[in-house]
Amino acid sequence: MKGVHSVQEDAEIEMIHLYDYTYTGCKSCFTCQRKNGKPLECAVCDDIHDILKGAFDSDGIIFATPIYFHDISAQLRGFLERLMYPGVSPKDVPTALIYTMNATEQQMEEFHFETNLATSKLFLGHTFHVTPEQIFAFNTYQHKNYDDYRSTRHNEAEKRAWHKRASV
Amino acid sequence: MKILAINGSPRKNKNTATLLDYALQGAASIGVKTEMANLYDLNYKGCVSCFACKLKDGKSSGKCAYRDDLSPLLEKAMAADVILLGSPIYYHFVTGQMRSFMERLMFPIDSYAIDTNTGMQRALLNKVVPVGFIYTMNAPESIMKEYEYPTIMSYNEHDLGRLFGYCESMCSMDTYQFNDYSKYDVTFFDEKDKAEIRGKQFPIDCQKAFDLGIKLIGEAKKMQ
Repeated sequence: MKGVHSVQEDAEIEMIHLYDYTYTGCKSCFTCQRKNGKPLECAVCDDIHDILKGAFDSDGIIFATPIYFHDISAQLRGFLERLMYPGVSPKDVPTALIYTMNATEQQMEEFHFETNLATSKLFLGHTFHVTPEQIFAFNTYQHKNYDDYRSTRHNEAEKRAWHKRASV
Repeated sequence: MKILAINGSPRKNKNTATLLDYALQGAASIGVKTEMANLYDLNYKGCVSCFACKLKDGKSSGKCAYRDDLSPLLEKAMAADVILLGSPIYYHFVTGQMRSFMERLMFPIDSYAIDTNTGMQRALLNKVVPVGFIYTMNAPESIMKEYEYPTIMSYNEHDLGRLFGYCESMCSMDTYQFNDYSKYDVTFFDEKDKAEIRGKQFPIDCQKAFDLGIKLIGEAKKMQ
């Protein structure tokens, strides 16, 4: 958001925290696929209904998610189902995907995360006509105090050093 | 012995639910108790990363501490002898609702600790609970292979297999989606082709699901 403001001071930015809302993924009611149905409007009326409509009015969208079990968080997946199934955007909208993960870059490659993540990239590109930019933040620092957790699989000192270097 | 089926489709009597039901019938045919739960009936979130399940000496150690509609179902799943998951494929992956369930099911038993005896990740589930996964998809085999579904699905098997000790999956492809194709703006798929496949292939898939139910019970019995 600081980056956006650095080049466009008056840019209006809205931050949405998906976990603040109660919603489900696509319910396969297929209302949006009906002949003479309303395009680009998900018929499910819940907490994210208006957010979905607003997304198609924006000039850019950034999605950010941690990686849980090789994929984006389920909350984002549910949101994307609802966003993308009702149709494609009438205008080009640049989008970006920011991924954060406990895994290192080497682990991401070893476990082919990008095969899973290619899906979001492909379909967002299809919906908004621009291939999304992607940013990966690896080896993230997860806990305020590692001593509180059973976390011997991770080396806190290495994580801290990495986090310090990567944050600069 | 008990098998718990989790329907990750919003539709309660379509392809996914039908196949889950056949798998349960398979298990019931050899005298096993069965139960089916529909995820879309419940109001819940995916993992909220509170990390209470990883706290040293925490009261929720190895269990999901977040309380919502999913909590009783997670308890049932951890008490079951066999878990059967079913999901349609949305955008090359299981549904967000199924994924939320899986995050909450898997993360509490995915230890961040090393077992000092083996040097490996500490196992938190001290038993093998065979997990079955039934995927349904509109995509035919050629498309699902082109878009690497087998690789994507292999990671579900990998995670469920390493945490529960056994995982096996099956796919039902090129499924029939609508009761009445004429109502929808569908020119990408041919209703006649779909109907033909529905008639020929779906009964085979139902039998496969029935057999999977029996096989999973067999795997659970091996572990007793």
